[in-house]
Amino acid sequence: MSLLEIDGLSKRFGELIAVDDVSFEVKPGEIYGLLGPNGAGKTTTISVACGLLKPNRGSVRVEGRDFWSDPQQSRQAMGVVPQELALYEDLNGRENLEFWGKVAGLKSNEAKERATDLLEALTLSDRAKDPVSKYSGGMKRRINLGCALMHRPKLILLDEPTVGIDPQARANILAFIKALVDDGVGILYTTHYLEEAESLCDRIGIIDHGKILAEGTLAELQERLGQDQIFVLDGFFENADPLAWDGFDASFRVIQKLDTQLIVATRGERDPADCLKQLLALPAQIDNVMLKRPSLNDAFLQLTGRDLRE
Amino acid sequence: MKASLIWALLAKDLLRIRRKPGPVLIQIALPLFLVAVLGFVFGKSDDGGSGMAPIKVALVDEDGGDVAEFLERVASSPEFEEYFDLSFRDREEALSLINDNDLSGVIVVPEGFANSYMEGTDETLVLELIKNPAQSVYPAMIEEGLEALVTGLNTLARTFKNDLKGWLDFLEDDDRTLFSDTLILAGLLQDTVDHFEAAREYLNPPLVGFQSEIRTEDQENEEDSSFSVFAWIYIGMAGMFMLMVSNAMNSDLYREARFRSLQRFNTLHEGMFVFVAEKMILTVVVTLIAAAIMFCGSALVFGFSWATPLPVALIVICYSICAAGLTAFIAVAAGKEKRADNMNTVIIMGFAILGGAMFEPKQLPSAIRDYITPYLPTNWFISVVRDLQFGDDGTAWASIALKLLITGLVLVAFSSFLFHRRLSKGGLG
Repeated sequence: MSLLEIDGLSKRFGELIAVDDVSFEVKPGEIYGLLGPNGAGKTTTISVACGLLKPNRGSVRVEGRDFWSDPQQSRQAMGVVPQELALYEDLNGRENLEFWGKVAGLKSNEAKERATDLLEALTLSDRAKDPVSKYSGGMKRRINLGCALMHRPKLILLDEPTVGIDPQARANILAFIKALVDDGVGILYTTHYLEEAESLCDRIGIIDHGKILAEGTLAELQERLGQDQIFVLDGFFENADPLAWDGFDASFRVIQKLDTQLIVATRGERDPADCLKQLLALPAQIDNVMLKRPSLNDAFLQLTGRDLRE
Repeated sequence: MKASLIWALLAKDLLRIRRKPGPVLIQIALPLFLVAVLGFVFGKSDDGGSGMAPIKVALVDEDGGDVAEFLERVASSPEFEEYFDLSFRDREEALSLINDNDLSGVIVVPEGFANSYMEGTDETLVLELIKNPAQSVYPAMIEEGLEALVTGLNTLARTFKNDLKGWLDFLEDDDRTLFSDTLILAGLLQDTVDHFEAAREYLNPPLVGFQSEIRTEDQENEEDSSFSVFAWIYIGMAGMFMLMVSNAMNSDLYREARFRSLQRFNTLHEGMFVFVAEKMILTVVVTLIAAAIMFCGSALVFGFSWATPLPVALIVICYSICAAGLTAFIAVAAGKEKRADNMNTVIIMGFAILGGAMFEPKQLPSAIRDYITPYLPTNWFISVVRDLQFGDDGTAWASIALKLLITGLVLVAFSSFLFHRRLSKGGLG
């Protein structure tokens, strides 16, 4: 049974359709990634999934039952880590954890014990008594994450939990999240970092303008681009029309065309050397050609026509 | 579950206040400080004096005429000596004393001032005031006093211009004979009396006056033991600052929305009524703590005692609930944090001033006094506590306490409902 099932979800704010017919599910022991640029609808999806917003259409099911049939029980089943820090900076790390534990229904001694365990796991024991205002960005992010885990939820919704922190702190958080999955927890993870989605998520949904454009494992998404071959051509393509080039359309598919760069995928299984030879013979100024395996960004490029990093 | 949740929220907020007590402490300390300043400047001291040291002022008489003599005679009166310590110096000595901060100001009567004044010259005469820049209040008070003197001299000169000239000529005439003296004196007296007659309707009855009250020693002792200017001012200040403390606590709901903690709470609990209710309880609790410090602290600091502590305590409790409800209602009506802050400050000041926190309600314009003041909770609170403290034991304090309590509870319930509805519809701005 899925921990979270989102089916045909739509949410609009006036004229703006923030989420449009989105469907996916999160199973126990799985990290499902929602990958998309800022404003794609990731946070709105999470807000609807955790009951902060009511959908205009579609359903949210938690552990098999409709969210709104028993909203309190559904809320207790999940831990939500908001994108923006929701901490009391005057209180210390331990006090923040214990407070949110009590709000989630833990007794005082349970909250104390759980806070001790989480501080240890988040490697914050030595700073537990310092006010949160004195924490670094990475430490605040870790406490922010810990506050959502106090009541041991089976389903965790993480809304861009690593935004704005250094690579070391990010690595710590990602390692912690991976360890959670080993205990059978299901995670919905939103991000706009390709590397995080590639390294962390078991399945990924690519979302843009409120719609899920593609969904699958990393390998499945890469396969959409064809036989594992992507060529990146640096040169001068301002006035070039690749479709007009003789034989080009039969051999390659354009993923992205910029004034100084052309990214293409091969059609069908072909010898890379033949492809390279054909590309260098094109009637355009080509300074450099690079062959690479398709990445998630290439999939995103193909689906949306723009780079996720833009 | 609900009770333990409210307790967890309350404990968290009290801990936050303990960690960062500045804003609440300022609200508590400010009325004590203001009352101390006002009390020391205008209140009575232990010896029955004004409560402040006489202002040191020097007179430099470069004229050598009658104005300085007149001022010297005024300065020797006991009423004047209570407020001013006037000494005669030459200019150099006076300036040196100002430099040493031993004087608050110097008044210079320039040469020929008295003669020019009596002769009614057309040019403007000038008295010079040198203020001590190192002091702020006392030099300003000397300036006020000098302005009053100049106004008096101007009035005298304008009304009796011709008489003054005649009197001067008469006094300076060395060739007078007994007969001529009598005739001239009679004429001068007649003219002056005529001018007084003409001014009678303006002078009698006087627009402003005072009557000294003759009091027995017993009466004076009785008043000294019960009346304290500190207590009188403080009751008004406390009425206002309890609203300020309530306002600061109510604003916390907006801060929680800004910090996203309210949103996080909503990911764990259906509805936010508990959250809102806790803030109301917090507001009442903190306002009560602040009130306890204000009322007990003021009695300790200013050395007076509350005549009827139990009724005052009960009224303070009811007023705290009323203050919580009132400020919550204004906050929720504002809808946005910044607007709520600005609106509440202005409205609280209005409630305080119109409710009699700073003046006796009798001194307010009649329209306000009759149609607004009686309906303000600040007025209910301030009036009844002053009545209890300063004599009217039979005041209906219980009914006023009940009125404050009911108003407070209704406002708390209504504001909680509005806050909750606003949050359910998408949060606070």
